Amino acid sequence: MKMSITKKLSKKSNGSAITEFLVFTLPFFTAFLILITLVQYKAISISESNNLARQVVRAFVTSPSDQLAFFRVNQLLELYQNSLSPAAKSARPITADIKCQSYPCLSPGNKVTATISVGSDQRSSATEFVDLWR
Amino acid sequence: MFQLVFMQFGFIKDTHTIQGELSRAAIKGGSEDYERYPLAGGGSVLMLSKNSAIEKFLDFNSISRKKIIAIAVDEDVNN
Repeated sequence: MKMSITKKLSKKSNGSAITEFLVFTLPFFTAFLILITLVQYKAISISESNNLARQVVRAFVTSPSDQLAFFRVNQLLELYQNSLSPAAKSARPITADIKCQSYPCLSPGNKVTATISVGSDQRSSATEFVDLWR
Repeated sequence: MFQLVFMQFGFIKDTHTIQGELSRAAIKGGSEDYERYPLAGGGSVLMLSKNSAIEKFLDFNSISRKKIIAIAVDEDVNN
């Protein structure tokens, strides 16, 4: 019994080492490549949405009037989107949503929240208060 | 594969660093290489769009480029 196992093991294999290597490693490498790309995409989306939410809410609460506030937000987003490549622009469409605790939005001490959506699944919010002495 | 991970982490690190520098320039002022766009109603938007080559530890004479965009609002002191 022992002899037959050792004989079997010492027998020359007809398979090619390169083929075996490719068959076993290629699926792992492909999966790893997809994983890295997804992580990169998610990291960029998170960083982009967090930063844009902070800047948008800042532009909003520092506006001199309610009428100009939304225009300032659109202006900011347009400037940012214009600097993106066409591929990035279509892959990660950016939308903003502003919510105020009470209306008019720019009343002293009011809480303003900006939510930025990047792509279909990434959303970030930032909150600021309108200056009490405005 | 490790080269790719290295490049992507380098890109994320640079994005955060440059954004931090630009935000600091918006608050304290600075001599960063940014563009300033006027914002309706006062204040301005600082934009930094930087194209550069990605650092690699294995290079086969092929340059990979990256584009980093940073944005910050510089508010008007009167608003």
